Amino acid sequence: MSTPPNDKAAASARPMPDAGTPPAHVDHDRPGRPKAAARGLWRFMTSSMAAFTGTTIVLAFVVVGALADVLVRTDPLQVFGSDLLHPPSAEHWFGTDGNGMDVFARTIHAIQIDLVISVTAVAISIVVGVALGLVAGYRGGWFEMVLLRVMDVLQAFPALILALAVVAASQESIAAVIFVIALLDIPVFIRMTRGQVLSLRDAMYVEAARATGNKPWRIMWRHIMPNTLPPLIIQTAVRLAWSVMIVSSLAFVGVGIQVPTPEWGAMIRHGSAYVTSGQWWPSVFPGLALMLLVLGFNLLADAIQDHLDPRKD
Amino acid sequence: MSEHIEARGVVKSFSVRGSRSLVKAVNGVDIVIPRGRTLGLVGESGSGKSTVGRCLLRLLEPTAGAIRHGGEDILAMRPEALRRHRARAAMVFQDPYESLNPRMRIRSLVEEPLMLHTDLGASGRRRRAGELMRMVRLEEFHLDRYPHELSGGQLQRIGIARALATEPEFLVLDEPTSSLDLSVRAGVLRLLKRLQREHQITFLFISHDLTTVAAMSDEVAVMYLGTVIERGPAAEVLGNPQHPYSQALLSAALSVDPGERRTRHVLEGETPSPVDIPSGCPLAPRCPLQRDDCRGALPPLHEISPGHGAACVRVPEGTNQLPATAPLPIVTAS
Repeated sequence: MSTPPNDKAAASARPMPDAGTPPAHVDHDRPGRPKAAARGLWRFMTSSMAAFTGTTIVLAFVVVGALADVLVRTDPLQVFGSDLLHPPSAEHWFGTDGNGMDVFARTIHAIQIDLVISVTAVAISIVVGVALGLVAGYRGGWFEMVLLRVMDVLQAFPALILALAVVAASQESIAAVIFVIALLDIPVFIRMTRGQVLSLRDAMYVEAARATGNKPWRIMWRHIMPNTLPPLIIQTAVRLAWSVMIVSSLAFVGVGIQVPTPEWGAMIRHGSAYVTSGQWWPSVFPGLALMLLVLGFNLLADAIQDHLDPRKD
Repeated sequence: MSEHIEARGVVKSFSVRGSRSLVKAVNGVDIVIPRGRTLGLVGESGSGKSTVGRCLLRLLEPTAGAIRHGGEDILAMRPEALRRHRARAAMVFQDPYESLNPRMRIRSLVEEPLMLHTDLGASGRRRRAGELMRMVRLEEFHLDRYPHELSGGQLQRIGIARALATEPEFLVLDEPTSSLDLSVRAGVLRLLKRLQREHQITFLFISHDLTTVAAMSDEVAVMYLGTVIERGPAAEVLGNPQHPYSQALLSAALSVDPGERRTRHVLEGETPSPVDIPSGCPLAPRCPLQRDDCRGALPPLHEISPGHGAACVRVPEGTNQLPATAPLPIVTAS
């Protein structure tokens, strides 16, 4: 009990220099996993400029967003009554908006709401889309046909119009926004997963899994699904960028999240009234934040795509 | 001798997408294998031998026919019974690179059948996996590798270990050595032979490589266009082929002695498409010995010696030997 098990294993491994003989009883997985993940992340980040920039931006947003309450002491809803539309200064780094609220505090706090909505919506659409896509691709038949036609109908609507209609018709704004983004993302994940499954369904190892006596759901989950992961990861980053855009776009046109709540789209809309008279800061700063996050996700998607390309190594 | 595997009149046709025509991959094949014996199934690519193997395991649903395994009707099994039956009848696939999931560790692959079919706990599975690895002459540490980290020969032995995990009674070996180097091939064949002897496993050995079939099989069946045109004891069929197609197929096999000049039989033309199979003897359109009565119905297997039969109308009269074509001239570099 005095030494942790992996130290012992490492010690017993050292005196055997030949690579072919493995150390006895090493559980490669459990103790090394977090470290290996960190090493993998570092290798990915340093693999290209896009990977480095994308990962840095996204990680920075996640960390700053999570710690927003600690990092920025100013309440994003506090009204500085005498300081309406105050330009950027030492006191208000990004100035104040037309309501006299601190633009910096609001821009930072908006990370939370934009990220939470996008991540939740994309997570829901992955779960639903991948599950339906797996079944549709593997089983086929009427289920696949009906599902695909329903998705055709869904995708035939212009995304923003559909989102507008759904969100405007419902009361609870945040839940409605999450719902509508998930609804728009689900067809993407269904089609992608189904396409992958179709190309894998006839793979020899899937037949072998059947010959071994696997149940259909286990074949889908254990044998097919893991092989659909690379495009899924790429698509996730793409859809996250797109979802952040939709959240902000909805707020910008005035549905979904409403003004006092710190949200980039709503802030841009509210500030746009003053841009012509020279008070650019209430819209430009949230706009830049939005742009930077979307850029981060897109760079990440590109970098993952390059990284997972088997022809690379 | 009790018949362990018995299939009668197996037919399998596939519909062609976007057309009404059917691809008739298998046209009424009978397969009988006694317990612990090997039937070698030979024929060129597309003759339907793999389809027969898959039908016997019901990996493909036969269009017609009856299949029994130790007296049990395979085709009557409900999905759950069939799934459990897979512990008793397994398959070794042709391409070990393609038939092992690239994202699973060897351990998961080898332990999977145990997890599905036995009530062994984690430690029991671990022990059995180690046993299986020794059985196929691999090391226990290979279990922690991924498929891409092993060689083709090692992977094929993993495929065999996986198939043997639940101690099946019947194994369909679909060209198990065709993707292997010659040096590795002999080892895998010896291993299979030994395991068969030790565990009394019944083999259906599918191959187009006549040398390995000769080494492995007790009986041999020759397939052409979805039909068995000749069958019998391995030495009989391979040493004294009677059907014109078998004669041509065997004369095309290379000998280890490059100087050996053997009689050569050449069939004109290409194998017809399995979409429109000629009625009667499937070889008739290409056979130099073809006559009018070849065209009617499929000839029955005429017996030459006990257990050795060939589906050629000329067999009873003994006029079924192909004329020899001139041997190919030896081309020497000058």
